[in-house]
Amino acid sequence: MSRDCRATAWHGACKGPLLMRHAISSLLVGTVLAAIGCGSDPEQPAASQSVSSEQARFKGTFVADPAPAIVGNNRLEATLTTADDDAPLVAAALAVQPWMPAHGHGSASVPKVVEREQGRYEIDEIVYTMAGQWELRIEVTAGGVEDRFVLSYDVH
Amino acid sequence: MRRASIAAASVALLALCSNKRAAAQACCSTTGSEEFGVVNRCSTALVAAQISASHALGSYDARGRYLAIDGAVDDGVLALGAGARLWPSSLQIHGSVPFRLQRRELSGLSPSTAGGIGDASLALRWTALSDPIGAVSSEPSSWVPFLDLYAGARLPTGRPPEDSEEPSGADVTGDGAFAPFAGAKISKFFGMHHVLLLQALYTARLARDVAAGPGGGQSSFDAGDVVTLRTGWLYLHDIYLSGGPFVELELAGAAEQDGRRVADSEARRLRFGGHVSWLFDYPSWEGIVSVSSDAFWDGTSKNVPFAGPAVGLTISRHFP
Repeated sequence: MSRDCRATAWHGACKGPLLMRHAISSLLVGTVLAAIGCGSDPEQPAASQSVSSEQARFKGTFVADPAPAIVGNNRLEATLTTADDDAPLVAAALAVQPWMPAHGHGSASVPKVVEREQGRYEIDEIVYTMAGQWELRIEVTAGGVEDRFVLSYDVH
Repeated sequence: MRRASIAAASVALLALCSNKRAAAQACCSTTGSEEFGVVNRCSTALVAAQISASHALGSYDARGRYLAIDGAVDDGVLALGAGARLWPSSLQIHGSVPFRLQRRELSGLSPSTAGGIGDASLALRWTALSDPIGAVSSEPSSWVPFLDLYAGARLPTGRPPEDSEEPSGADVTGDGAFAPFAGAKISKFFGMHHVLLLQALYTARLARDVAAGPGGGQSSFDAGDVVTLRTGWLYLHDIYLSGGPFVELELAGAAEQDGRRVADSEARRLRFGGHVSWLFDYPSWEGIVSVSSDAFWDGTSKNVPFAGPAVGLTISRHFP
């Protein structure tokens, strides 16, 4: 899966026609909502996204709180499984780094990771220090296997 | 009292209009008046202090949409500047050092205030052409403007983002990279009261090493180069008082990390504002009040993390 594909792959889908349909439907819904004065953002990704890691060794479902991401403290719930058999990724080591690609910096706060259930991790103290496009780089090590997720957030 | 004021103003205006010296005084207020630390045309040296404050009201995203910000982002800057003419006198060196005090009140974080020295700058400036200001001097009218060419560098003396210890980033006071720059400024008198100002500046932001990922390692990050275009109009009321508006457009190219272009990283920023300059103890002491703001409508700017108004007060001591 390409990097661009990962960045836009909501709910596990990364196929052109499906994305196109999603974009068109989002645009239509957004236009209607805008017309009636609703302030929602049709291009804002959903709070939940399911993606594969860069080398397709793991799969993850990530739920951001709040959504859309804000300048300040953010949380993320990550449910991780192996790519082969969807087994929960138990006792994995996660290293998390918020990163602003356009400015070439992260933030001083180091996100804290706690495994709440088997394969379900809560990541707190994700601090975005300014508005803009941010990446959340998550390096995962489990059973001697390493891979990483790169999630993209439009921080307001 | 009013009659005395009118008389004083008339004398000042007469002095402005009467001779070549007056022309020189008129042009004192052109170059330098809205540029911090730059020696004006009547002086050989200058020291200056400036306090300024800015408040972020919102941001512009990568598509140019303006979005209000939730939280408080306030920056205060005390800048010290100095400049001196060299030999020949058309050449000068000038520089400034900012001391920044920054407050961040971001959602979910404790309010924090931090600061320190910012990125200093140093430049050489050469007045290549001089406007004879025909309207008030004995020289014939001419289309020749003042032309100032300058080059220098912004130095990474501030604290870069990678050295930050505050979760809010309040302690980040610099970019962390050398930024050589070169520019040109044209100042053209129209009559003795009106001056058109045109300025273009190119800033190359050199690459710096940044963290490659949460696991460590280094990566080379090259912020995009910046072109700044500025135009303004200056009204010289008399030899003491001048001021005028400006519009500034800043265009930043795409950033690169390890030689790869960062998508959607180009930035654009449109600001406008103005200043009023008052030589309250002619010719030595000058006070300048300035205000500026981003343009708060969609499409004018993009990829601007903090946008909002700013005010500044500068006190300069000129040495004739």
